[in-house]
Amino acid sequence: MKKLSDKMEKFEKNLQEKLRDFQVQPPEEMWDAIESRLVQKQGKKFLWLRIAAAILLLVISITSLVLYLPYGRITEPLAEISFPEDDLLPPVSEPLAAEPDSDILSFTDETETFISTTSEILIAEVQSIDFNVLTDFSGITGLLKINPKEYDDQLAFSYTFDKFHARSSFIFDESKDVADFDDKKSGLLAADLIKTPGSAQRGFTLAAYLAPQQSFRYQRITASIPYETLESEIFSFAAGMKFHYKLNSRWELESGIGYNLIGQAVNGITAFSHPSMIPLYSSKGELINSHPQSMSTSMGGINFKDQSFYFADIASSRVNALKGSYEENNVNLLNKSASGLIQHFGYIEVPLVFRYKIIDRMFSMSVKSGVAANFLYTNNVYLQGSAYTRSIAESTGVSAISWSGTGGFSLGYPINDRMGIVLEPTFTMFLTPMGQFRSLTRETYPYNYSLFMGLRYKL
Amino acid sequence: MQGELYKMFAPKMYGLCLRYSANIQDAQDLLQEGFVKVYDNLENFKWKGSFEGWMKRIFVNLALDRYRSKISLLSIDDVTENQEPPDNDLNALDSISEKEILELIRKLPDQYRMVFNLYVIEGYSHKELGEMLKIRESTSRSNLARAKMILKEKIQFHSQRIEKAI
Repeated sequence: MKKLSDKMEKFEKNLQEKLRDFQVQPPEEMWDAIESRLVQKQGKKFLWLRIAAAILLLVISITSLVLYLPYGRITEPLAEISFPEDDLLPPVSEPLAAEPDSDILSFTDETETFISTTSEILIAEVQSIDFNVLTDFSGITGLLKINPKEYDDQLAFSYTFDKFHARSSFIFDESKDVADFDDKKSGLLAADLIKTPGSAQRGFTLAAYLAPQQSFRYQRITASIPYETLESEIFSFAAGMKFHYKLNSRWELESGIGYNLIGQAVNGITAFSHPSMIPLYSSKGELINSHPQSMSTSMGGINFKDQSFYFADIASSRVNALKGSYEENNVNLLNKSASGLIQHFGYIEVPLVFRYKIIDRMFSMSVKSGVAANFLYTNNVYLQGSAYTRSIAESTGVSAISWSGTGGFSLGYPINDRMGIVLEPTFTMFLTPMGQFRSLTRETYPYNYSLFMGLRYKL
Repeated sequence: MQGELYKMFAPKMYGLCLRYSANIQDAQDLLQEGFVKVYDNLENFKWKGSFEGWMKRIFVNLALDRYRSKISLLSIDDVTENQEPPDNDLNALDSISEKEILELIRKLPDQYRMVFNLYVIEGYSHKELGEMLKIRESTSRSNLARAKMILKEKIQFHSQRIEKAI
């Protein structure tokens, strides 16, 4: 009986050996069938989203460009422009129509050239668990095995390096032997697949984005001048590059560098052309060369340096002439040339944001929240004509560094294994006042509603 | 990339599918379904153990699901465990190819085939088989004994036929 039992055991063992890893090549058309099922499954479900995202991206990008082209123009000096004699304006004390005659001024455009460059950034990604490290750099993958040894109570390291041609990454645990490295190619390949979409594997993702945004500010302390009604939000943009580092299957850490343009429109300010031959007198009869004029806004003061303009506030009392006030009769001799100011603040933004993935299928969705350091980079006040925009001053009293908080959603959809489209509705608000302004007691916190649109690339 | 993964593993997985299926068509359906499930679940691979083992488990579980879905149609009598195959020449196995063995396994009744594959090839215990197949442990043992007996008889028959031909 024992003999029989042994024989049966041998029979089983033989069968097991014969069949366990037995391979049969499936018919060639099998893969086509599987692939079509995969495409159907992924494509049908999210095709509409891909199309909608592409259309949205296109529409908003074109809109942004069209809306922003005027800000890239440089106007010729006002002094060279002649004004019709009969085009006089009513006294400033009466509200003025906010529409300057477009025939009065004509400017030559020197349109800035927008140069778009793309750079390929390669980053060595090191995956490390215990002692075996796989590196992936520019398509060459290698295994670096570090062997820690105890030597005279010191930890010493020796290493071996091996490379092959699969562009992949794989985490080896301590027990795996480098000798069977080739056998792990299957795992490596799988690891590469797992990178997209949704992966438990750590790694970097690079993203470039453009974000149209509505920019305005919150004023914590109400000032005597009703700025709320005298200023309005503007459409601006942000753009930049981000790196995401995947901490695990859910959490990502994001940083990068971006340019964030914020600001506001200052309404009710009228600019008169002020040819130098027309003297201005104060109400006391003193000759005034009242420049530099200055004014207050909720986003800092403005010192007007351009003496070819004389500014008046037709809606409130925000403009001060440092050496006196204007004589209405004289002002009436001037021509209204433009009305409305736009304050722009360009910040270089360095964010630190955490993302948590809620949906991690082909389509992904995350919530994000974090902070950013904002370094003031550009500061301009533009005078807005009907056909031109001219930089005339800087805002004063604005802090060089501010901190902001950000939060929002991130929606992602892959284009292929590595690339994907990203849409991120985001709210950002300054956590620190943008400046402590001299003679102004208000505290102003800019905020934006942005739609980050971009492309991500898994490195 | 998905295609490369398929190329790498398809022959092994197809071999497995053939073992668990009653016919070629079922095996191909299982292969298709299995790979779709693998791609769907790649993100769930926890980097513990081998990737191939993880993949195999997906296929085996699918085969089990399929089996369970038609279990009600089956009615297999228990046989006594000590119903061992006759003490004939067990070296008959050497004269038969893997493909021919697969063919014989496919012809086994579904429950025998499941028990045989899970116990002999995958290495599960009868207790585990009982839970997986919702059968008694003793049923699992008797099914296995019967499956082995059938297989062995057929293998010997096949072997004898070849000897006669020579």
